[in-house]
Amino acid sequence: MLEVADIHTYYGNSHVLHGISLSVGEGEVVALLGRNGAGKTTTLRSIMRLTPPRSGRISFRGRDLSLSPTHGIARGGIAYVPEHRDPFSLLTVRENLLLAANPRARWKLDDVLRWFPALAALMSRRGGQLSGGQQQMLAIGRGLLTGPDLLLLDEPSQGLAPVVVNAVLEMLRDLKRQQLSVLLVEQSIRVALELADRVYVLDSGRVVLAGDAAALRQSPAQVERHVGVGA
Amino acid sequence: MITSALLGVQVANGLAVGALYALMAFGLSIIKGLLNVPNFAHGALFLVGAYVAWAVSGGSGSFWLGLLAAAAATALLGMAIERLLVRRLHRGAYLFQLLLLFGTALVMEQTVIAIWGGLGRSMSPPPWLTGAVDLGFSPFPRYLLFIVVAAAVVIAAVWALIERTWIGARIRAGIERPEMAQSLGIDVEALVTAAFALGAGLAGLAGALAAPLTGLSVTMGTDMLAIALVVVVLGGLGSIYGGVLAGLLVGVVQSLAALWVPQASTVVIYAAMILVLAVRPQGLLGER
Ligand SMILES: Nc1ncnc2c1ncn2[C@@H]1O[C@H](COP(=O)(O)OP(=O)(O)OP(=O)(O)O)[C@@H](O)[C@H]1O
Ligand SMILES: [Mg+2]
Repeated sequence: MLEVADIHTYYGNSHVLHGISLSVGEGEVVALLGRNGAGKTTTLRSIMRLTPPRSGRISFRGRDLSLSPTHGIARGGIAYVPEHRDPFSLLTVRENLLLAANPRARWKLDDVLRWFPALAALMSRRGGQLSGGQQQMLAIGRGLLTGPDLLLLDEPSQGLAPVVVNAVLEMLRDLKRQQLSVLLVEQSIRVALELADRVYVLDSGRVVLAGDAAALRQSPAQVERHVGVGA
Repeated sequence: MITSALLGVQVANGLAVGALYALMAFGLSIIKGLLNVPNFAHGALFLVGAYVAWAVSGGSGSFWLGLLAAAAATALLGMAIERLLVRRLHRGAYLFQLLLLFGTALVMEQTVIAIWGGLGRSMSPPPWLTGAVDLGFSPFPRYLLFIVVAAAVVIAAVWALIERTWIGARIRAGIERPEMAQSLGIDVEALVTAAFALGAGLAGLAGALAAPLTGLSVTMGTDMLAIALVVVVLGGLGSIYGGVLAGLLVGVVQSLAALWVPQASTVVIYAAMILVLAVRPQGLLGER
């Protein structure tokens, strides 16, 4: 459903993505791995046209995304939950969750609160007064309420307490069972290989490894070699 | 001899002028919030509002129609300025945006002169707004009271729009994190256009309300812009409501200063700005 073909993306004059190609199928969870600075975030930003690629082609359900502005891409069914998950600080949690909610979304506020019960008690609190874990739950919930068919998730478990990480992973497993397509940027090889159907590893703005998660689970060393130790 | 009645009238005058400053500063803050640029054409929009109100109410005989036409015309002008001009410049091309807005202001001023001439004009309030209401300790001229009430109603309505509606929540979101708002499907560009139109309409309305109070002159916009910018800074750059409070304060201080040091009433404003900023660099309601 998402096709990224040979994109080159720059920040000013610095050439960051050198011809990335990848795809995400209907109902598929695809993980994007790579060292710090490999270009994972930039790939997601390129898809959303927050940093539009200078060349290459990105299409979603056959539609060329270079013709849409960022908000049009979002309305077209792609939700982006960035690694900087800061909420709108002066809006309440309820406002944060619902300000872009789509009435036809598959998941409603109740579903989000079922995954993240901690949010229920915070509905009238300002976004600026949340802890890191609460912010992440809010960011993911807000994305799902826009009614996406594809979710772009950038390091959802980074820097979070184990309880929150578990809640997020549980929700991701749920979403996968319900056939939501996900492009997941992950630091943890173990988590990525468990959740994903397929994996891409990036290094210096290039795809250096692509494969089925099932096969790579048998030989994770292959992945580790590209991602680095300790991951 | 300064009597309580004279004091009362000066306070009334100060509140009315302050209400105009508040409208101006409010519009400037809304535009600055989304565009990140002080709208240097804001004074010219004030001027256009005054002349449109004068021409339309003179031509039609309806004071209300004059107000409405002024607000509508300037809102449309604001929309055009944003869509056709400001948008063409790259985001963050701060200096160029300022220059463009400044140039636009000059064009608007010269257009007013070309249409209506460079001479000052006067406009009287409608008959039902002449005279004064007696507040017991002092009379309050009716038209001044009207300005205060009209500004209060409009500011309250815009406040409710921004703070109590989903459109307002999206505007606040767009002001704080434009990229995130866009990623959620919010058309921030359209909000910027709407905010520019809204702010411009407030400036036009302020000009229309000012016309019967101060009369019309082709320099009224430039004078107003200078004070309105001071008011915005005083109110606090981070807050869109600080300017409302600061506007009223500046109006009253300026008006009272005119009793004792008539020649220096404008200097007093700048002195007050320096004083406030020395104590509170973030302005009255700004956060840092
Ligand atoms: N705003 C920017 N301006 C200039 N260079 C940038 C910018 N953002 C990222 N880069 C550079 O682009 C490259 C790719 O960055 P990117 O954020 O996509 O990496 P990443 O794989 O997401 O890394 P991480 O794991 O640290 O999040 C890095 O070399 C980074 O320094
Ligand atoms: Mg990143």
